[in-house]
Amino acid sequence: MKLYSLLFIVSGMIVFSACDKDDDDDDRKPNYYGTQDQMARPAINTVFVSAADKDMFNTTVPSAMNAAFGSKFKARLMALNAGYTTNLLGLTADQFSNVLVTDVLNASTTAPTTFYDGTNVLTGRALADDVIDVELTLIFGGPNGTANPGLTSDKVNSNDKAFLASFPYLATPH
Amino acid sequence: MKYIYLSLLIILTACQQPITNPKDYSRYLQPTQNTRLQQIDEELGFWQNKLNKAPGDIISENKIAGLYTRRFSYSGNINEIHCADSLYRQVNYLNHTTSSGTFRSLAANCITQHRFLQAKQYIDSALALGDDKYLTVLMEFDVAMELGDKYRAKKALNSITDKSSFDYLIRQAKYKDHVEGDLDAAISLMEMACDKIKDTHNPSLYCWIRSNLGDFYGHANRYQLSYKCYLDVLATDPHYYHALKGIAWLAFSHDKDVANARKIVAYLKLRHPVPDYDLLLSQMAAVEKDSIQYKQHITAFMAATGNRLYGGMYNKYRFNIEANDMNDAAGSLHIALEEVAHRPTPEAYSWLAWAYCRNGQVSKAITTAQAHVIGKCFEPGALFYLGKIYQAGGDNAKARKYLTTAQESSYELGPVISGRIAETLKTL
Repeated sequence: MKLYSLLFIVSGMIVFSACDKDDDDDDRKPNYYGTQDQMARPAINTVFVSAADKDMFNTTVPSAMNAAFGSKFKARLMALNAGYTTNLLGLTADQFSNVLVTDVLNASTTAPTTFYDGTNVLTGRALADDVIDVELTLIFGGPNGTANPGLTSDKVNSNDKAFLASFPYLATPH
Repeated sequence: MKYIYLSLLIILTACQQPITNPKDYSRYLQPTQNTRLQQIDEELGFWQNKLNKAPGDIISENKIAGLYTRRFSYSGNINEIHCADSLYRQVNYLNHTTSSGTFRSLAANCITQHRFLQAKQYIDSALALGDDKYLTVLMEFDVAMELGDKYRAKKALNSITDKSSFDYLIRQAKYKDHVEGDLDAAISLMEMACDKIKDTHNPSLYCWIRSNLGDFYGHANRYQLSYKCYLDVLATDPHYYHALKGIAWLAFSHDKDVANARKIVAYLKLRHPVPDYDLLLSQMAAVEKDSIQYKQHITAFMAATGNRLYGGMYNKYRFNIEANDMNDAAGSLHIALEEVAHRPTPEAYSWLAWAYCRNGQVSKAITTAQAHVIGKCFEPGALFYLGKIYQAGGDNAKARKYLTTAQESSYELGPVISGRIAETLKTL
């Protein structure tokens, strides 16, 4: 399965923080917004971006992420797994870093929504998807997903409370 | 001419009018359910339960530490700050290489306990990590101000790009007041900051700025506005004790209404067991010349603040009591030297100068004052010490100058110190 052969609609979640520059009650003045944080694929920003780069990464638009952080992502990948050759998707270190560094959550309008279900890759993300295990497998699992068995799962296989069948779908806080 | 006298008369009468009225605040002296505290306790129970199931879970530990820190503002129980501190240290042990957040939380706890040098170390570590730099720089300013490092404070302040943000305005206000002695400018900035957030439905932020603004108005002798601020705060949160304490001070220092002031403080003491109230009660006893009560409260205050968990939180008052009330010259010099070593602010140097003076080293006191205090510190307490030092040095003109300036802040200093100023001025 070649990742880039799929046609993706790219969507990213960007968190905006209001930065109200109004000095008075004049409603005609515009509000200005600035990006403060953004996150798409779970844990990628957390693991692959160093603390020193965090503020910069969080304010870089996804289209510019590859140029700015591509080599750092590859260095981090190789630091995490010095024996990396390719992974389950057949991606080399360069190719895989390129995929990871553009931190957006893809969504396919035709394929089933899943982070990875054995066939479809990154066609979206469903609530029950074990995204951390998928990411660990792609980083540590080697070409067959079987290498480093101790590092390819967080051993948390489901939410500790059942999801709801209707909106808002998430389990209530507990 | 007649009109001038008439208007003077009106102004004088207006000044003598009491500001506080029990009708406005008596409802806040009735114990009511503290829903915010209940909410905190509920959340604490929730996270404690999680932590019990998964010992060492840093998310729960972090949450519990944050809740203890918030709880302290209502409970006054210093052990809660200590607990929060221990939990943050455990969290930081695991995430100190990946996230600066815990360093900032630890620094905030240090600031509460006046352990500023340690706060500085935490902030430096957070800066070195580099994430959430904006939040770290805000605290870099706060710590630098407390340590008397005005250059670093100014640098941090200048690096904030949005000069109209709440975060910037409140810090610019502090800088204007402390470093430049420009209280009026500080007040305008605080008013702007208050306007910024008054519609954001953030009650804790609103209470914080509004009660601080109340203090600032008080320092500027704008009593009515100060009173209004405190009442506004209590209308938002009846358990915001700082505002009630502010009203007690207005009743005591401005209205000279000791009975009502004492009533408020008695309530506060019951609800919020912090040492501050004994200090206030000691001053009321002093004004009423009740030496037994006075001594009891001073003893209770000194015993309570001797708890090492308070860090240097009460050093200012402990110094004042040792130097002026207990006549313990050696003890006061010890506190002043310790304070200057920890935070060499102009105010700390004013204590040191006064301690030298109390120890009979008048010329050393004057040299210290000239090098570190004069023109750098605008706190009325420091001006009082300067006046007394020059009096001891035989320079009555300078003594009169500083004491007269300090006298303008009689309200802030309170009846005990302003009485001492008036007495000294008579002898000059």
